[in-house]
Amino acid sequence: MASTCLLFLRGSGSVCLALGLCIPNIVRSQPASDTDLGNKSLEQLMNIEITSVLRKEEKLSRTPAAVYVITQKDIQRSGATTIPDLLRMAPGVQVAQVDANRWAISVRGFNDIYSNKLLVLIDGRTVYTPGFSGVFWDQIDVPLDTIERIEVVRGPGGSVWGANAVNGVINIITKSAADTQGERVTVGAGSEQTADDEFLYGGKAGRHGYYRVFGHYISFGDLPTQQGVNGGDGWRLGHEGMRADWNLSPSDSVTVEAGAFESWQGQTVLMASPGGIPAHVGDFGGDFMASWNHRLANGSETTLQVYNNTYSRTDTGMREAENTVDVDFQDHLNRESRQDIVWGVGYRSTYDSLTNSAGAAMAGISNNALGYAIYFQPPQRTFNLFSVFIQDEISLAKSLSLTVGSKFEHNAFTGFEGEPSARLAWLLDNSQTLWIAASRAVRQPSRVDSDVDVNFGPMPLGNGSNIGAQLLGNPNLQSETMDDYEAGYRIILGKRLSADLTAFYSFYHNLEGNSLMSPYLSAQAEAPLFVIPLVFENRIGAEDYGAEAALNWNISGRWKLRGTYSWLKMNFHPYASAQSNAAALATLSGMLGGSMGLGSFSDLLVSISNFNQSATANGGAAPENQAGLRSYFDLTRTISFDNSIYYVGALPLQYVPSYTRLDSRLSWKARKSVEASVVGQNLLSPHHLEFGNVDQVMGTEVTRAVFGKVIWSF
Amino acid sequence: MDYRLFGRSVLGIRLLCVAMPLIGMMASAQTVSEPALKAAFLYNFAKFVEWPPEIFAGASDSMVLCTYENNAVGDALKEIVKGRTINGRRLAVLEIRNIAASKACQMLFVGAAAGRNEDSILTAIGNGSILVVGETRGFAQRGGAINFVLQDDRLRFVINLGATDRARLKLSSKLLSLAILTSN
Repeated sequence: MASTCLLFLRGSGSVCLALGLCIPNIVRSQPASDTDLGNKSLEQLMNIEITSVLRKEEKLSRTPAAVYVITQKDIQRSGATTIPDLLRMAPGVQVAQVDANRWAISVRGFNDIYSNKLLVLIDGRTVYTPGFSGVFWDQIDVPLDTIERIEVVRGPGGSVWGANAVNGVINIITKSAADTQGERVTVGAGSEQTADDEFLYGGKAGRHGYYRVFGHYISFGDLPTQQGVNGGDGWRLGHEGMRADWNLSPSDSVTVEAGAFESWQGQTVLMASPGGIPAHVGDFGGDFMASWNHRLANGSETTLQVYNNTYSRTDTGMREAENTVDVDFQDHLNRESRQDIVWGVGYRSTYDSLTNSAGAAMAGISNNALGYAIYFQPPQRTFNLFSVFIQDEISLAKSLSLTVGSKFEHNAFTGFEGEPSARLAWLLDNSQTLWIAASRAVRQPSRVDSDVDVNFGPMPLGNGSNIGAQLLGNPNLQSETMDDYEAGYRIILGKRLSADLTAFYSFYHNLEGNSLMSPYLSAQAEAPLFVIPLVFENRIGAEDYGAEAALNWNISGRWKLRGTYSWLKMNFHPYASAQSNAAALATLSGMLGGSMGLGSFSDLLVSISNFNQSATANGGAAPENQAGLRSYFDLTRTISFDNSIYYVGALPLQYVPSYTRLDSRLSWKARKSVEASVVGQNLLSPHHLEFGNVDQVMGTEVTRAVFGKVIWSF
Repeated sequence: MDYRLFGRSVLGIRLLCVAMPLIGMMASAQTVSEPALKAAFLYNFAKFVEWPPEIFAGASDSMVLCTYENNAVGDALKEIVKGRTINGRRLAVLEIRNIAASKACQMLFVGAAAGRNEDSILTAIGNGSILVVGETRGFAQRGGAINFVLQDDRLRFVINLGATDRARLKLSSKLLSLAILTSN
């Protein structure tokens, strides 16, 4: 079979199933000493680690893309309790905790809580929010012990995955129900995270099937602001879910997953008063996914997947209800020839309802207190996405293969889009791979870009008249596009060392920004009201370049090191044709008679002009340098001591200094059925800031914390 | 295209060159390939399982360990059994291609490559006194006696007590204590 991995073959992940062992354990097999093994006892044999290179592991090391795999072992040994914290492990990924319940996560820059160029999937199910094409990480709960692995692809994946797989794809792949049989009870508590409780039961579903059901509850306390005040940002989430897998026949398998969650997140909204006012986010939702996979002995494979995501969220003055239905079909033809073709078709329909007033009241704040009101025109909308993709992997020579393909989509905002890519892999020998790639990816506008209408103010001007601002979506926006060039090198050195290096240069076109338009006098207000409109426009270009490295060193059977380093530079340049907001502001000031108390309002305008575009406005909001080093150490057969240290460079435009965080974990497997662990998080400093305030919600600092957990398995 | 692309790419390549010498050091220690480890387990299983005496015609008959659709394990097993005996019986390793040949085997290892044939193999063997060992997920649940599973990169095994009972095999308590037990 060809080198099919996440990037090149969609589906619920069965093809990539064994890839979890890939990168972290790339060590050559050693056929010698087989006879010695006969002298070893069963107990001794059970302690030997398998370090062979499976065929599928080799496949990953030969994949012509920047892929990093976070395995279940990495998850256990990191001591992390949330998916965002797990993602700190991968090179090229920016993870910043904004407050107790919000994260800004992106790949290769453009970081924001509304990062909108990254695609996130759970078992092939897209979990980004159609409203702004980003991810609400506080709605994404997967009990960490049910994750088989997380595949993180840096760079564009649009040729297979479509719009929004611009600068990265994160695929969270859960374990088969067959691998979570029995009962498992987890109880965890700590100083910042006050609960992490889980009950899981796995059983048989008929002669050829397995299932699991689980309940998960997490709760986090409030974090302090930079001024040391309680940020009121505690968070609670409950989630029930199931997964079942059946082997209907030797060549057919069916997977069904379903879940429901409810969550409550505290926050402090800044706009209305300097100290902010307490508010909260409330959300609930559910998901359902079913997939059928038909696999032939020659490696050909057909997959049909349907899923439905639905949720309702009340957040800073708005109530959002979303419902997505998606059907995907994919066919992999393996004709044992020099060409290996994968093609697929997909359809997605999203319905949303975005209303302001009722939702704001539910969140405990009225529009007046908030200082702005958000409307969508129209408030309800259904939009469809049709897509086809085809990809061909051609063996040019024994050690040279070319993968070409493209996705073609029709979306409701910009119509047809094409996302071609070409990747060349050259296997220098059994242990070295060199690859290059050129790709185009697009980010189509989302609902907020097209249809939003935010009214700020009014504020008195001092002469009996008022001033307000209006931020308007633009239905005529074009897609943001990115042309990307990448090169990578992987090497397996000896038995215990492997390295993965990547360099990239990306050109972004038509990035969105907000343009100030000419003010007008509102006809509806009682007192004279000047309204300054701002409109989203494709007005910025950018270059983004950098390099990433990952190193795995298994020093001995009991000590393993994992290192990563990322370097990133971003340059932004507004198009010459785009109106200068500073110039427009000056004109405006003149029009209104400069002396009339516009000072604070112009500050507000600057802040408004960053609305929904803060990643671009903040120079990408990504540190230039990031590094991580993780150490997994087995003190004895039952006790392990693990450490993760991360350095994250400064975000100067957000006034976030650089920081280094250390997490240490000590775990003891007391019996076959009981494991206890204690984790110290952020041990190096009492508290640190990772991101600035976003969209008028107060950011808080991450504190030093301790967390303990006991797991019983029956 | 922006001319700067070329300049920056060169910089990127230079970075790679700087990073490479860092990866000079190497450590070495014994590593074991998965087929070799599986073969060693198989040899150990044979030591801790008692077959009904009537299946051996004579006291000097060899014990026959068979592999199907996994030559790597078969080859490793041949190396291990060289010069070794179990309860005075010499050990023979047979790579079978036709399942009918399994009648001669005391143990049969079914490789993952058997794929869709697994179920028909298990049906063909029925209640015969053959210790059937598999390596695909759920093999023991489908009626196999022993199933290799990978946990934390280490090899573990599931024993299906229903299958070993039906095959009239006696398993030592030591073997059972190390196994993950199921009964199907």
